[in-house]
Order: sequence, then structure tokens, then C-alpha cells
Amino acid sequence: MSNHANVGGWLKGKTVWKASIAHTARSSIPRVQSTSSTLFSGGVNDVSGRTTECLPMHGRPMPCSYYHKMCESCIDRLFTLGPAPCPICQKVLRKLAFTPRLLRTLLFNKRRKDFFDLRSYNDYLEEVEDITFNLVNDVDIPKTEARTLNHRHKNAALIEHLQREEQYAQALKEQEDLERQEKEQCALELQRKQEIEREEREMAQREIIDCLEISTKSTAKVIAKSRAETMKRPFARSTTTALLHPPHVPLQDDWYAYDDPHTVRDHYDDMYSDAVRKDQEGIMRGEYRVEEAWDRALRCAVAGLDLPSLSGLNLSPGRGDNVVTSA
Amino acid sequence: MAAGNAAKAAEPQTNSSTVKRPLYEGSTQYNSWRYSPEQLEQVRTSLNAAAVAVIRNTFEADEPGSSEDVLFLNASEEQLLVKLYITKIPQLCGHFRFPEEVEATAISYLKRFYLKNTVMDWHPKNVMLTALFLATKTTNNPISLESYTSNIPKTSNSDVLDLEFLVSQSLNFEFAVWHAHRALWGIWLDLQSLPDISEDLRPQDVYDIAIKHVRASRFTDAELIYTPSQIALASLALASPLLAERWADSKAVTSAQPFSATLDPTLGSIKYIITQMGHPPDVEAVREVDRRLKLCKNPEKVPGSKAYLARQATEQRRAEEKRNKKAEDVRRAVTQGGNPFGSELNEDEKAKQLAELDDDDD
Repeated sequence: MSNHANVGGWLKGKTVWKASIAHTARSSIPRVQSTSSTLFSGGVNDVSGRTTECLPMHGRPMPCSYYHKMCESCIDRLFTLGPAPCPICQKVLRKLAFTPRLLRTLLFNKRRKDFFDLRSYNDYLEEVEDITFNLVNDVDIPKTEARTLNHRHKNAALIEHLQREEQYAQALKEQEDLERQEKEQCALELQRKQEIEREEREMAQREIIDCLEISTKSTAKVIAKSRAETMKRPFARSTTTALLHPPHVPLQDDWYAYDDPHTVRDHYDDMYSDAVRKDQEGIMRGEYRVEEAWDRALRCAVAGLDLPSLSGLNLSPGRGDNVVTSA
Repeated sequence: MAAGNAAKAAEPQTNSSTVKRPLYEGSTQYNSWRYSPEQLEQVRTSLNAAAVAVIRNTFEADEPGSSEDVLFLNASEEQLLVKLYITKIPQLCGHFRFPEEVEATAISYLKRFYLKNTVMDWHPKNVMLTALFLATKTTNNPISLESYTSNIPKTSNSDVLDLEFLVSQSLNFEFAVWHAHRALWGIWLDLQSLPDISEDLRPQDVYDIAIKHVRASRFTDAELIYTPSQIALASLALASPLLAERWADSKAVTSAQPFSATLDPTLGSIKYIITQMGHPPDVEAVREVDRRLKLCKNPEKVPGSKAYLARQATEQRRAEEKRNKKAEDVRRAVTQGGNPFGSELNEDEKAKQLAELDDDDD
């Protein structure tokens, strides 16, 4: 088994890897999380922190349920063939027992950008490492725990904020995924329907041609018959289907829209809409109809024509006459 | 045709038993922006008095005794200043070639704004620019802020944007305005349906004169007292009394008197308003008012003045306190709980915490 010296060597040797400090930090975070959670689960059980084959780290460390750290590749190597004893504590485990702690929800999750310069970041990391080391090796537990607590106090707000961010990001991602799935499904459905319709149409055309070739009926009759069949088909999306739908029922509500006192004529001598009406090409596309504008004007002309104006000082109730003196 | 119209206009055809309410009576213009002349007067004077009191206090807080010799504006002087800026709106619209709807809407916004605020707090110049910009947006004729401010000399983006929320708030976010010019157009079209009016009786100049009267009416308080269709009819009556009368009669409900008679007093007052007050104000008088305004402006709104900075300081302090309190609460929650995620809440605690939740973003 490995000894303290090795572990210490790994820890103390980190200053050499200044360039990859960030990487080391991230790799240390999952482990640190585990130690802080042990803080709350009342003590450390089997944590020895000793990693054998896994020195130096091959890749991403993933702690097992007993908080022994091993990198991903070593885990693969050892556990692919089935349950095997953990190299550290000899307990038989499955690969599942190793979970990458992706959520940086707990302690010690300041990032590089939270620090002004590399030096202070490294100092912070060193502190983290020290605390970890102490915890893991049962060195000076009470003092270390005090340090941890202290650290947490200082960063309570930040931690909470990060927690919330994570949750929010997660929820958002889930929502997006769901929406995307739905959209894909809809698109697929639509595609399928279109294909079916296309096939049917082609078949119908072929039938017509065949009929024309072999039958003795007149061409007009044949075409008429096929068209009737088209209408019967459920997927047919031609303009003839509009006749099959129930007539459009206009909105019924309790408002009187001044439609009685006038009749809209087909044509007005109107200077404003001359340009639009002369527009034969339909430049004013998008369903703009002069008749609708005329209709609206006519309604405006009579709207409220017989409403008496207010007089006197009694203010009607429910009117906000607040004076905006601030802001 | 007239008889047919009358018969149809007898009673709105309904399938239900309830009487339908006319659409205009559902509009915000009818419900919140309709005043009597006396009410207008009262609103303006009380607004002015309140503002003077507040500003006087601010002056006193600055230097006691300084407000003694300051001549504050009275309500009619404020109105004069606002009127001048109302007349500037059509000029700007012509420059930008905005449709008439934008112009009319902007003028309405400006008028309504100064029924809720005072000139001494907010100078009409920037309010007018903001109201016009807002009007382009609400009438679906938007232009970009860049092209707007670059075409107006000595205007920056913030001049327009800073006041936008204030203007919207003062309008109570009620942006839809019914206009008299559209009603006039409707009358003009409908005249063509009248059988006894031949084409030469309604020459185009009659319409032109009438629309000029409508535009003049925008400088007055007419739209705050009367409905747009009434104003339109009055303008037409000023241009051609005959046509107005004929048209109004054709709209009469069967049993009642000819419409024109019942409408006469209303139309009379509108006509009076348009002719008497529909002109731009005298520039000299306005300049005098503007000069005095510089002295009695509310110092709290002038960036850089003592009162403004003091106000800002208090606001910031309040915001700071809130933030600290929040941080403190969080800190307490994290350290006291045995669990960084908080302990399992029972129902009561949950309810209590929900009640204490502070949801604002500051």
C-alpha cells in the first residue's frame, strides 16, 4: 500500500505543476466534496486517501462510496470484468460505486476567476489541499474543521449563489431538452403525413393515366371522378376542403361595434386609399384590404357620438388621479 | 337609404337578451381620460399647488429662506408651455414624415402626461421627444432610436430613454388613443352614402378645411372632454354646416329628435374651443415662462445639484441596507443549519419562509 510520504509527495509536489494548477484544482474538487460531506455524516469511516496504482493521476479521479479516490482509467481497468476488491480497502465493489461528483455544490468551489492573480489562487488551492490532507489523514481534525467552517462563513453567499445557478442551469437544460424532443416528434409526424399524401397523389395520377389509356369514357368524366375521390381522401389539402368545413362563426361577445348605422359600400371616392387601390400587383400584400380600413373609419365616426360630456366636479369612482410627484 | 339606416339603427340586433355595451365605452380613453372642464381645471391647479409645495420644501432644505423670492409657475402658465411643445410635434412629424396617427397619439400622450406631472419637475422638451418616440412604437410605426436621435439636433439616446418609463407610467400604460381625424375620414366616406348629397356638394376643400380644424383641436383640451366623433362632426360643421347637419340627421335613432338638435350644444362648445384656443401660443409669452422656469425648477431632478445628489445618496443607502440584510439572512441560514442545503422544512416553516421571501431584484 502507499504510504504517507507518497501522498505528501503528491500534495507537496504540486507547486511544480504551476501550469496545471487549474486542472489539479478541478480534480481535487470532487474529493474535497466528499470530505466535507463526511464532515456532516459524522466522521470519517474508511477514508485513507491512499491511492496505489493511481499515482500519479491518469485522469479524472472518481471517488467510490468509501471515498477512495481513483482515476477513471484505473476504475475501468479494475472493474470492467465485474465486481472486484477496492485496491485500498479491499472491499468488493462494482464500477457503479464510483460516481463522478460533477455537481460542485458544496464547499471550496471558488474558481480561477474569483481570484485576482495566480498567486492568491494558488494560495487558496494550497489551503484547500492542506485541509483535505488533514481531514483525510486524521491530522488535527478539530482545528481543520474550524478552518473549514470559517471558510464557509465567509463565502456563504457565494456558495448559495452558485448552488442556485447550478439548479437553474439544470432546470433550463431539462426544459430545453424536452422542448427539442417535442419539436422533433412534431416534425417527424408532419414529414410522415406529407409523404403519405404525396404517395397517394402519385397513385391517383397514375390511375388517371391508366384509366385514360384503357377506358372508353370521356376524359372529362374520368378526371371529374378522380377529383371527387381526392376530396374524399382525408389528407387532401386542397382548396376544396374549405367547403367541407363548417362555416366560420364570428366572435360573439357583449360589445356593440357600431355596425348598424351604416353600410359599407364597395367603393368609395377616397383620396387616402387611392395608391393602395391602384396597386394591381398586390404590393400591399398580407391581407390588407381597404374595405376594412373604411369599415373601421366608419365605426369611429359614430363611436360615442351621442355620449354626453362630463360636467361638474364629481370624479367618477375608480379613476386613478394620482399625482406622480416622485421618481 | 336613410330610412333603411334608421330602421337598422333602432336597436342593435342581439341574440342574447343583454344589451350590448358600445365599444367606445370599453376603451381606456372613455374610462380614465375623460374630464369635464371643471375637473380639468381642478386637477391642474391641485397638481400645481402640490408641486409648488414640494419644491418649496426642497429649496428650504437646501438653503432656508431661498424659496421666498422664487416665483413659481401657476397652472395656466404651465399649460402655456405645454401648448408650445404640442405645436412642435407636428413640425417634427413632418420632418420625419410620420403618419398623422403618430402625431395625434404623441400629442395625446403629452397632454395626458402633464395631467399627472408638473412642468417644474419635468421640462416638456425631453418629455415631448420621449412621447413622440413612444407614439411611433405604440402605433406600429417604429423607427430605431439611432435614426430618431440623429435626426434631432442636440439630442442623445439617454434624453429619450430616461423618461420613457416615466411617461408610460404616467399614462398608466394605456397607450391606445381614439382619434378625431379617423372619425372625420369615416364621416367623409359615409357622406358618399347619403342619397341627397351629390358629388359637387361635397368638394374636396370642405374636407381639407375640416381636417385643419381637427388639427387645431389637438392644441386644445377638446379630446379630454369630448369624444373623437363629436370633435370630427364639429370640425365638419365649421367647414360646412349643411353637410354636418345632413349626416347627423341620417344617423338619428328613429324615435328621437333629429340628431343634430341634440348634438348642437356639444358641437357648439367644441366649435368654440377650436376657434378660440386652437392656435399656437404667443412665443414671447412662452419665452417669459421658460425663463422663470429655470429658476423654479425642482432641484431634485436636475442632475448634479445638491438636492439631486442627496436624493441619490438616500436611495443608494436604502438599496445597500436591503442587500446587506439579504446577505445576512443567507449567512445565518447557511451557518445555523446542520446541513448546507437547509434542514427538512416542516409545513409551518415552509409557509413562514415563503411569506418572508423577498422577491425583488435589488
